[in-house]
Amino acid sequence: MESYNNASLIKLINELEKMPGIGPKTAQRLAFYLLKSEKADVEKLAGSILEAKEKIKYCSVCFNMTEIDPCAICTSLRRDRSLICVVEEPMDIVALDNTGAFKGLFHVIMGSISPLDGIGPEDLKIRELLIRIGKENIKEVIIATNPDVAGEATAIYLSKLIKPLGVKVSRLAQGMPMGGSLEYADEVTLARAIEGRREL
Amino acid sequence: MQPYHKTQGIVLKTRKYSESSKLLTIYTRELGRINALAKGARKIKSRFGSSLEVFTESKFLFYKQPSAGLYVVSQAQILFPHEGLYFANDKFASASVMADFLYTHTVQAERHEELYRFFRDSLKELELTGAPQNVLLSFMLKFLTVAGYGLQLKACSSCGKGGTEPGRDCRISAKHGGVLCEACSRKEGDSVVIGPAALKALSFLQEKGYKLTGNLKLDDTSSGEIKKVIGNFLQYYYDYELKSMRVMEEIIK
Repeated sequence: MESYNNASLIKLINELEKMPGIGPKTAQRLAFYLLKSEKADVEKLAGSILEAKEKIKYCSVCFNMTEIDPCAICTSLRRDRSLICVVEEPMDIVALDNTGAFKGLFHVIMGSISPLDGIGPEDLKIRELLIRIGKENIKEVIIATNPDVAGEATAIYLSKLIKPLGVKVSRLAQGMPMGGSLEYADEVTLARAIEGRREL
Repeated sequence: MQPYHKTQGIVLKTRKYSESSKLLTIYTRELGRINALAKGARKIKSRFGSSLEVFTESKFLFYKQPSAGLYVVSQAQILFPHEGLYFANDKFASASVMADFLYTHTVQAERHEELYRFFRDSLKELELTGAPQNVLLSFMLKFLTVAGYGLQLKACSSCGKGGTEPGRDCRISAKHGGVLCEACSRKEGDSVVIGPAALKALSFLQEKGYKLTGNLKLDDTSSGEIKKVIGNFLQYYYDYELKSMRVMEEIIK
Protein backbone atom coordinates (compact mmCIF):
# COMPACT_ATOMS: atom_id res chain seq x y z
CA MET A 1 0.00 0.00 0.00
CA GLU A 2 2.97 2.33 -0.46
CA SER A 3 1.24 3.84 -3.46
CA TYR A 4 -1.49 5.14 -1.12
CA ASN A 5 0.30 7.05 1.56
CA ASN A 6 -2.98 8.73 2.53
CA ALA A 7 -4.54 7.15 5.58
CA SER A 8 -7.97 8.60 4.73
CA LEU A 9 -8.01 6.92 1.30
CA ILE A 10 -7.02 3.55 2.77
CA LYS A 11 -9.77 3.97 5.38
CA LEU A 12 -12.36 4.71 2.67
CA ILE A 13 -11.32 1.66 0.62
CA ASN A 14 -11.46 -0.55 3.72
CA GLU A 15 -14.94 0.69 4.62
CA LEU A 16 -16.28 0.18 1.07
CA GLU A 17 -14.81 -3.32 0.98
CA LYS A 18 -16.98 -4.31 3.96
CA MET A 19 -20.13 -4.06 1.77
CA PRO A 20 -21.64 -7.25 0.27
CA GLY A 21 -20.36 -8.07 -3.21
CA ILE A 22 -17.60 -5.43 -3.09
CA GLY A 23 -14.10 -6.83 -3.48
CA PRO A 24 -10.80 -4.95 -3.11
CA LYS A 25 -10.69 -3.85 -6.78
CA THR A 26 -14.26 -2.55 -6.82
CA ALA A 27 -13.70 -0.78 -3.49
CA GLN A 28 -10.64 0.90 -4.99
CA ARG A 29 -12.58 1.97 -8.12
CA LEU A 30 -15.46 3.35 -6.04
CA ALA A 31 -13.08 5.25 -3.76
CA PHE A 32 -11.36 6.92 -6.72
CA TYR A 33 -14.75 7.69 -8.30
CA LEU A 34 -15.85 9.44 -5.09
CA LEU A 35 -12.61 11.41 -4.89
CA LYS A 36 -13.03 12.59 -8.48
CA SER A 37 -16.69 13.60 -7.92
CA GLU A 38 -17.86 17.10 -6.96
CA LYS A 39 -17.85 17.78 -3.22
CA ALA A 40 -21.59 18.56 -3.32
CA ASP A 41 -22.37 15.14 -4.85
CA VAL A 42 -20.31 13.32 -2.24
CA GLU A 43 -22.05 15.27 0.53
CA LYS A 44 -25.42 14.37 -0.99
CA LEU A 45 -24.47 10.66 -1.00
CA ALA A 46 -23.12 10.73 2.56
CA GLY A 47 -26.21 12.66 3.67
CA SER A 48 -28.64 10.17 2.09
CA ILE A 49 -26.86 7.22 3.69
CA LEU A 50 -27.07 8.87 7.11
CA GLU A 51 -30.66 10.01 6.61
CA ALA A 52 -31.83 6.54 5.55
CA LYS A 53 -29.96 4.96 8.46
CA GLU A 54 -31.57 7.34 10.96
CA LYS A 55 -35.13 7.35 9.59
CA ILE A 56 -35.71 3.81 8.36
CA LYS A 57 -36.57 1.11 10.87
CA TYR A 58 -38.46 -2.16 10.94
CA CYS A 59 -42.27 -2.00 11.04
CA SER A 60 -43.36 -3.31 14.46
CA VAL A 61 -46.23 -5.26 12.83
CA CYS A 62 -44.83 -6.87 9.66
CA PHE A 63 -41.04 -6.18 9.94
CA ASN A 64 -40.91 -4.42 6.57
CA MET A 65 -38.50 -1.47 6.36
CA THR A 66 -40.32 1.82 6.88
CA GLU A 67 -40.01 5.46 7.91
CA ILE A 68 -43.40 5.45 9.64
CA ASP A 69 -44.31 2.73 12.12
CA PRO A 70 -46.59 0.85 11.37
CA CYS A 71 -45.74 0.88 7.68
CA ALA A 72 -47.97 2.13 4.84
CA ILE A 73 -48.96 -1.44 3.87
CA CYS A 74 -50.06 -2.35 7.40
CA THR A 75 -52.20 0.80 7.77
CA SER A 76 -53.67 0.83 4.24
CA LEU A 77 -57.47 0.46 4.13
CA ARG A 78 -57.42 -0.58 0.47
CA ARG A 79 -55.65 -3.87 1.21
CA ASP A 80 -57.29 -7.23 1.90
CA ARG A 81 -56.70 -7.60 5.63
CA SER A 82 -57.71 -11.27 5.71
CA LEU A 83 -54.69 -12.29 3.65
CA ILE A 84 -51.04 -12.41 4.79
CA CYS A 85 -48.11 -13.23 2.54
CA VAL A 86 -45.07 -14.52 4.45
CA VAL A 87 -41.68 -13.62 2.95
CA GLU A 88 -38.06 -14.11 4.04
CA GLU A 89 -36.68 -10.57 3.55
CA PRO A 90 -38.05 -7.01 3.21
CA MET A 91 -36.71 -6.95 -0.38
CA ASP A 92 -39.15 -9.76 -1.26
CA ILE A 93 -42.05 -7.42 -0.43
CA VAL A 94 -40.85 -4.98 -3.11
CA ALA A 95 -40.71 -7.78 -5.71
CA LEU A 96 -44.19 -9.11 -4.86
CA ASP A 97 -45.81 -5.68 -4.48
CA ASN A 98 -44.45 -4.56 -7.85
CA THR A 99 -46.44 -7.34 -9.55
CA GLY A 100 -49.69 -5.62 -8.53
CA ALA A 101 -51.22 -9.12 -8.31
CA PHE A 102 -51.26 -9.27 -4.51
CA LYS A 103 -53.39 -6.87 -2.46
CA GLY A 104 -53.09 -8.41 1.00
CA LEU A 105 -50.71 -7.80 3.92
CA PHE A 106 -47.15 -9.02 4.38
CA HIS A 107 -45.08 -10.50 7.17
CA VAL A 108 -41.27 -10.72 7.01
CA ILE A 109 -39.81 -13.59 9.05
CA MET A 110 -36.22 -12.33 8.54
CA GLY A 111 -34.66 -15.40 6.96
CA SER A 112 -35.30 -19.13 6.73
CA ILE A 113 -34.53 -22.15 8.90
CA SER A 114 -30.93 -23.10 8.21
CA PRO A 115 -29.43 -25.56 10.72
CA LEU A 116 -25.98 -25.36 9.11
CA ASP A 117 -25.85 -21.63 9.83
CA GLY A 118 -27.29 -22.14 13.30
CA ILE A 119 -30.58 -20.39 12.37
CA GLY A 120 -33.55 -22.08 13.97
CA PRO A 121 -37.26 -21.18 14.29
CA GLU A 122 -36.59 -19.14 17.43
CA ASP A 123 -34.25 -16.82 15.51
CA LEU A 124 -37.02 -15.90 13.05
CA LYS A 125 -40.12 -13.71 13.47
CA ILE A 126 -42.41 -16.76 13.62
CA ARG A 127 -43.79 -16.16 17.10
CA GLU A 128 -44.83 -12.63 16.02
CA LEU A 129 -46.60 -14.10 12.96
CA LEU A 130 -48.59 -16.54 15.09
CA ILE A 131 -49.61 -13.76 17.51
CA ARG A 132 -50.72 -11.67 14.49
CA ILE A 133 -52.80 -14.52 13.08
CA GLY A 134 -54.41 -15.01 16.50
CA LYS A 135 -55.25 -11.31 16.93
CA GLU A 136 -56.28 -10.28 13.40
CA ASN A 137 -59.06 -11.82 11.35
CA ILE A 138 -56.76 -13.72 8.97
CA LYS A 139 -58.36 -16.27 6.62
CA GLU A 140 -55.39 -17.28 4.47
CA VAL A 141 -51.60 -17.27 4.82
CA ILE A 142 -49.58 -17.48 1.59
CA ILE A 143 -46.07 -18.76 2.22
CA ALA A 144 -43.68 -17.10 -0.22
CA THR A 145 -40.34 -18.28 1.14
CA ASN A 146 -37.66 -18.96 -1.50
CA PRO A 147 -38.07 -22.14 -3.59
CA ASP A 148 -34.91 -23.73 -2.15
CA VAL A 149 -34.35 -26.41 0.50
CA ALA A 150 -34.32 -23.97 3.45
CA GLY A 151 -37.37 -22.13 2.08
CA GLU A 152 -39.30 -25.40 1.63
CA ALA A 153 -38.40 -26.63 5.12
CA THR A 154 -39.49 -23.28 6.59
CA ALA A 155 -42.77 -23.45 4.64
CA ILE A 156 -43.51 -26.95 5.99
CA TYR A 157 -42.63 -25.85 9.53
CA LEU A 158 -44.92 -22.80 9.28
CA SER A 159 -47.82 -24.78 7.81
CA LYS A 160 -47.65 -27.23 10.74
CA LEU A 161 -48.00 -24.33 13.18
CA ILE A 162 -50.63 -22.33 11.28
CA LYS A 163 -53.05 -25.06 10.08
CA PRO A 164 -54.21 -25.98 13.64
CA LEU A 165 -55.32 -22.34 14.04
CA GLY A 166 -58.01 -22.98 11.41
CA VAL A 167 -56.40 -20.74 8.79
CA LYS A 168 -55.93 -21.76 5.14
CA VAL A 169 -52.23 -22.12 4.22
CA SER A 170 -51.04 -21.92 0.61
CA ARG A 171 -47.63 -21.87 -1.08
CA LEU A 172 -46.52 -19.93 -4.16
CA ALA A 173 -46.75 -22.06 -7.32
CA GLN A 174 -43.55 -23.66 -8.58
CA GLY A 175 -42.47 -24.76 -12.04
CA MET A 176 -41.30 -23.26 -15.31
CA PRO A 177 -40.29 -19.58 -15.35
CA MET A 178 -41.77 -17.33 -18.08
CA GLY A 179 -39.41 -17.14 -21.06
CA GLY A 180 -37.62 -20.33 -20.01
CA SER A 181 -36.90 -23.29 -22.26
CA LEU A 182 -38.07 -26.84 -21.44
CA GLU A 183 -34.88 -28.50 -22.68
CA TYR A 184 -32.81 -26.62 -20.08
CA ALA A 185 -35.14 -27.32 -17.13
CA ASP A 186 -33.95 -29.84 -14.54
CA GLU A 187 -35.95 -32.88 -13.42
CA VAL A 188 -37.10 -31.41 -10.10
CA THR A 189 -38.41 -28.18 -11.66
CA LEU A 190 -40.19 -30.10 -14.42
CA ALA A 191 -41.73 -32.52 -11.93
CA ARG A 192 -43.03 -29.56 -9.88
CA ALA A 193 -44.41 -27.95 -13.04
CA ILE A 194 -46.30 -31.16 -13.92
CA GLU A 195 -47.63 -31.51 -10.34
CA GLY A 196 -48.77 -27.87 -10.32
CA ARG A 197 -50.34 -27.89 -13.83
CA ARG A 198 -53.68 -26.12 -14.28
CA GLU A 199 -56.64 -26.65 -16.54
CA LEU A 200 -57.04 -24.26 -19.47
CA MET B 1 -6.86 -23.90 -21.35
CA GLN B 2 -8.34 -24.41 -17.89
CA PRO B 3 -8.06 -27.91 -16.41
CA TYR B 4 -11.54 -29.44 -16.10
CA HIS B 5 -12.66 -31.87 -13.40
CA LYS B 6 -15.64 -34.20 -13.76
CA THR B 7 -16.96 -35.72 -10.55
CA GLN B 8 -20.07 -36.62 -8.61
CA GLY B 9 -20.77 -34.60 -5.50
CA ILE B 10 -23.33 -33.76 -2.83
CA VAL B 11 -23.97 -30.13 -1.93
CA LEU B 12 -23.38 -29.54 1.80
CA LYS B 13 -23.91 -25.80 2.07
CA THR B 14 -24.77 -22.81 -0.11
CA ARG B 15 -24.22 -19.11 0.51
CA LYS B 16 -25.23 -16.05 -1.48
CA TYR B 17 -22.36 -14.54 -3.41
CA SER B 18 -22.37 -11.20 -5.23
CA GLU B 19 -25.50 -10.13 -7.14
CA SER B 20 -26.76 -13.48 -8.39
CA SER B 21 -24.17 -16.19 -7.70
CA LYS B 22 -23.82 -18.92 -5.10
CA LEU B 23 -20.77 -20.10 -3.22
CA LEU B 24 -21.12 -23.83 -2.60
CA THR B 25 -19.44 -26.35 -0.37
CA ILE B 26 -19.61 -29.74 -2.10
CA TYR B 27 -18.45 -33.13 -0.88
CA THR B 28 -17.17 -34.79 -4.05
CA ARG B 29 -16.17 -38.36 -4.79
CA GLU B 30 -12.91 -37.45 -6.52
CA LEU B 31 -11.80 -34.23 -4.81
CA GLY B 32 -13.20 -34.51 -1.28
CA ARG B 33 -14.71 -31.37 0.26
CA ILE B 34 -14.30 -28.33 -1.98
CA ASN B 35 -15.66 -24.81 -2.33
CA ALA B 36 -17.04 -23.87 -5.72
CA LEU B 37 -18.58 -20.80 -7.28
CA ALA B 38 -21.74 -21.11 -9.39
CA LYS B 39 -22.13 -17.92 -11.38
CA GLY B 40 -25.71 -16.70 -11.85
CA ALA B 41 -27.12 -19.65 -9.89
CA ARG B 42 -29.59 -17.50 -7.94
CA LYS B 43 -31.35 -16.23 -11.05
CA ILE B 44 -34.79 -17.77 -11.59
CA LYS B 45 -33.82 -18.78 -15.13
CA SER B 46 -30.40 -20.14 -14.13
CA ARG B 47 -29.25 -23.13 -16.20
CA PHE B 48 -28.33 -24.90 -12.95
CA GLY B 49 -31.99 -25.14 -11.87
CA SER B 50 -32.22 -27.12 -8.63
CA SER B 51 -29.03 -29.13 -9.24
CA LEU B 52 -27.13 -27.04 -6.67
CA GLU B 53 -29.59 -27.38 -3.81
CA VAL B 54 -28.37 -28.70 -0.45
CA PHE B 55 -28.41 -32.57 -0.18
CA THR B 56 -28.70 -32.93 -3.99
CA GLU B 57 -26.28 -35.38 -5.57
CA SER B 58 -25.22 -34.18 -9.01
CA LYS B 59 -22.65 -34.87 -11.69
CA PHE B 60 -20.44 -31.76 -11.86
CA LEU B 61 -18.07 -30.27 -14.36
CA PHE B 62 -15.70 -27.80 -12.69
CA TYR B 63 -12.71 -25.77 -13.71
CA LYS B 64 -10.29 -24.20 -11.30
CA GLN B 65 -9.57 -20.50 -11.24
CA PRO B 66 -5.83 -20.50 -10.50
CA SER B 67 -5.83 -16.89 -9.22
CA ALA B 68 -8.57 -17.43 -6.63
CA GLY B 69 -7.85 -21.09 -5.85
CA LEU B 70 -11.56 -21.68 -6.28
CA TYR B 71 -13.48 -24.15 -8.43
CA VAL B 72 -16.11 -22.75 -10.76
CA VAL B 73 -19.13 -24.91 -11.65
CA SER B 74 -19.50 -25.15 -15.40
CA GLN B 75 -22.27 -27.79 -15.59
CA ALA B 76 -24.34 -29.80 -13.13
CA GLN B 77 -26.74 -32.65 -13.78
CA ILE B 78 -28.94 -34.10 -11.03
CA LEU B 79 -28.40 -37.75 -10.05
CA PHE B 80 -30.51 -37.91 -6.84
CA PRO B 81 -32.40 -34.80 -5.66
CA HIS B 82 -33.30 -36.34 -2.24
CA GLU B 83 -36.52 -34.32 -2.34
CA GLY B 84 -38.02 -36.42 0.46
CA LEU B 85 -35.69 -34.64 2.87
CA TYR B 86 -37.27 -31.21 2.27
CA PHE B 87 -40.83 -32.07 3.16
CA ALA B 88 -40.45 -33.63 6.60
CA ASN B 89 -38.89 -31.32 9.18
CA ASP B 90 -37.31 -34.13 11.24
CA LYS B 91 -35.64 -35.57 8.12
CA PHE B 92 -34.50 -32.11 7.00
CA ALA B 93 -33.01 -31.42 10.44
CA SER B 94 -31.26 -34.83 10.56
CA ALA B 95 -29.87 -34.42 7.02
CA SER B 96 -28.58 -30.96 8.00
CA VAL B 97 -26.71 -32.47 10.96
CA MET B 98 -25.21 -35.11 8.63
CA ALA B 99 -24.10 -32.40 6.19
CA ASP B 100 -22.69 -30.37 9.09
CA PHE B 101 -20.62 -33.40 10.14
CA LEU B 102 -18.94 -33.52 6.75
CA TYR B 103 -18.65 -29.74 6.53
CA THR B 104 -17.03 -29.43 9.95
CA HIS B 105 -15.18 -32.67 10.53
CA THR B 106 -13.48 -33.29 7.18
CA VAL B 107 -10.32 -31.79 5.75
CA GLN B 108 -10.67 -29.68 2.60
CA ALA B 109 -9.62 -31.30 -0.70
CA GLU B 110 -8.92 -34.71 0.91
CA ARG B 111 -10.35 -37.51 -1.20
CA HIS B 112 -12.24 -40.15 0.79
CA GLU B 113 -14.43 -42.33 -1.44
CA GLU B 114 -15.64 -44.53 1.41
CA LEU B 115 -16.91 -41.49 3.28
CA TYR B 116 -18.60 -40.19 0.13
CA ARG B 117 -20.46 -43.49 -0.43
CA PHE B 118 -21.36 -43.68 3.26
CA PHE B 119 -22.81 -40.13 3.22
CA ARG B 120 -24.74 -40.79 0.00
CA ASP B 121 -26.21 -44.04 1.39
CA SER B 122 -27.09 -42.31 4.68
CA LEU B 123 -29.06 -39.58 2.88
CA LYS B 124 -30.88 -42.22 0.79
CA GLU B 125 -31.76 -44.20 3.91
CA LEU B 126 -32.89 -41.08 5.76
CA GLU B 127 -35.21 -40.23 2.88
CA LEU B 128 -36.90 -43.66 3.10
CA THR B 129 -36.91 -44.32 6.83
CA GLY B 130 -39.75 -43.92 9.30
CA ALA B 131 -37.26 -43.42 12.16
CA PRO B 132 -34.95 -40.52 11.17
CA GLN B 133 -33.54 -40.14 14.69
CA ASN B 134 -32.27 -43.75 14.67
CA VAL B 135 -30.66 -43.26 11.27
CA LEU B 136 -28.98 -40.07 12.50
CA LEU B 137 -27.62 -41.72 15.67
CA SER B 138 -26.39 -44.64 13.60
CA PHE B 139 -24.79 -42.19 11.11
CA MET B 140 -22.93 -40.37 13.89
CA LEU B 141 -21.58 -43.62 15.37
CA LYS B 142 -20.56 -44.95 11.95
CA PHE B 143 -18.96 -41.59 11.07
CA LEU B 144 -16.83 -41.83 14.21
CA THR B 145 -15.81 -45.36 13.14
CA VAL B 146 -14.87 -44.22 9.60
CA ALA B 147 -12.88 -41.35 11.17
CA GLY B 148 -11.00 -43.83 13.38
CA TYR B 149 -12.81 -43.05 16.66
CA GLY B 150 -15.20 -46.02 16.70
CA LEU B 151 -16.51 -46.92 20.16
CA GLN B 152 -14.95 -49.96 21.84
CA LEU B 153 -17.98 -51.61 23.46
CA LYS B 154 -16.88 -55.17 24.26
CA ALA B 155 -13.68 -55.24 26.37
CA CYS B 156 -12.61 -52.41 28.68
CA SER B 157 -11.10 -49.62 26.56
CA SER B 158 -8.61 -48.74 29.30
CA CYS B 159 -7.13 -52.05 30.53
CA GLY B 160 -8.38 -54.27 27.68
CA LYS B 161 -9.28 -57.03 30.11
CA GLY B 162 -12.59 -56.75 31.89
CA GLY B 163 -15.89 -56.03 30.16
CA THR B 164 -19.25 -54.72 31.26
CA GLU B 165 -21.49 -56.70 33.60
CA PRO B 166 -24.78 -57.75 31.98
CA GLY B 167 -27.85 -55.93 33.28
CA ARG B 168 -25.88 -53.18 35.06
CA ASP B 169 -25.07 -49.55 34.28
CA CYS B 170 -21.63 -48.91 32.82
CA ARG B 171 -19.35 -45.99 32.07
CA ILE B 172 -18.14 -44.90 28.63
CA SER B 173 -15.03 -42.77 28.36
CA ALA B 174 -14.20 -40.65 25.31
CA LYS B 175 -10.59 -40.39 26.41
CA HIS B 176 -10.15 -44.19 26.31
CA GLY B 177 -12.54 -44.68 23.38
CA GLY B 178 -15.22 -46.92 24.88
CA VAL B 179 -16.60 -48.82 27.86
CA LEU B 180 -14.71 -49.08 31.14
CA CYS B 181 -14.66 -52.09 33.45
CA GLU B 182 -15.63 -51.56 37.09
CA ALA B 183 -12.04 -51.28 38.29
CA CYS B 184 -11.08 -48.69 35.66
CA SER B 185 -14.36 -46.77 36.21
CA ARG B 186 -13.25 -45.99 39.75
CA LYS B 187 -10.03 -44.39 38.47
CA GLU B 188 -11.59 -42.50 35.53
CA GLY B 189 -13.82 -39.59 36.50
CA ASP B 190 -14.57 -38.05 33.09
CA SER B 191 -17.03 -40.55 31.60
CA VAL B 192 -20.74 -40.97 30.83
CA VAL B 193 -22.98 -43.45 32.67
CA ILE B 194 -25.42 -45.42 30.53
CA GLY B 195 -27.95 -48.14 31.28
CA PRO B 196 -27.88 -51.70 29.86
CA ALA B 197 -30.62 -50.94 27.30
CA ALA B 198 -28.71 -47.95 25.94
CA LEU B 199 -25.47 -49.96 25.74
CA LYS B 200 -27.21 -52.70 23.75
CA ALA B 201 -28.78 -50.11 21.42
CA LEU B 202 -25.44 -48.30 21.04
CA SER B 203 -23.76 -51.49 19.89
CA PHE B 204 -26.66 -52.27 17.53
CA LEU B 205 -26.66 -48.78 15.98
CA GLN B 206 -22.89 -48.84 15.51
CA GLU B 207 -22.62 -52.29 13.97
CA LYS B 208 -25.84 -53.03 12.07
CA GLY B 209 -26.89 -51.66 8.71
CA TYR B 210 -29.44 -48.88 8.33
CA LYS B 211 -32.20 -51.30 7.28
CA LEU B 212 -32.12 -52.91 10.72
CA THR B 213 -31.48 -49.79 12.80
CA GLY B 214 -34.67 -48.23 11.39
CA ASN B 215 -36.69 -50.91 13.20
CA LEU B 216 -35.05 -50.34 16.60
CA LYS B 217 -37.43 -49.08 19.30
CA LEU B 218 -35.58 -46.52 21.43
CA ASP B 219 -37.09 -45.02 24.57
CA ASP B 220 -36.33 -41.40 25.53
CA THR B 221 -33.92 -42.39 28.33
CA SER B 222 -31.75 -44.62 26.10
CA SER B 223 -31.88 -42.10 23.27
CA GLY B 224 -30.77 -39.32 25.65
CA GLU B 225 -27.93 -41.46 27.01
CA ILE B 226 -26.70 -42.36 23.52
CA LYS B 227 -26.78 -38.69 22.48
CA LYS B 228 -24.77 -37.81 25.59
CA VAL B 229 -22.12 -40.45 24.74
CA ILE B 230 -21.84 -39.20 21.14
CA GLY B 231 -21.73 -35.57 22.30
CA ASN B 232 -18.95 -36.46 24.72
CA PHE B 233 -16.90 -38.14 21.96
CA LEU B 234 -17.39 -35.24 19.55
CA GLN B 235 -16.39 -32.72 22.21
CA TYR B 236 -13.30 -34.73 23.12
CA TYR B 237 -12.02 -35.50 19.61
CA TYR B 238 -13.20 -32.46 17.65
CA ASP B 239 -13.69 -29.87 20.41
CA TYR B 240 -16.47 -28.19 18.44
CA GLU B 241 -20.19 -28.09 19.03
CA LEU B 242 -22.29 -28.39 15.87
CA LYS B 243 -24.75 -25.50 15.50
CA SER B 244 -27.08 -27.73 13.51
CA MET B 245 -27.66 -30.05 16.49
CA ARG B 246 -29.09 -27.20 18.59
CA VAL B 247 -31.36 -26.14 15.72
CA MET B 248 -32.47 -29.76 15.21
CA GLU B 249 -33.67 -29.93 18.84
CA GLU B 250 -35.66 -26.70 18.23
CA ILE B 251 -37.25 -28.03 15.04
CA ILE B 252 -38.32 -31.44 16.30
CA LYS B 253 -39.44 -30.50 19.83
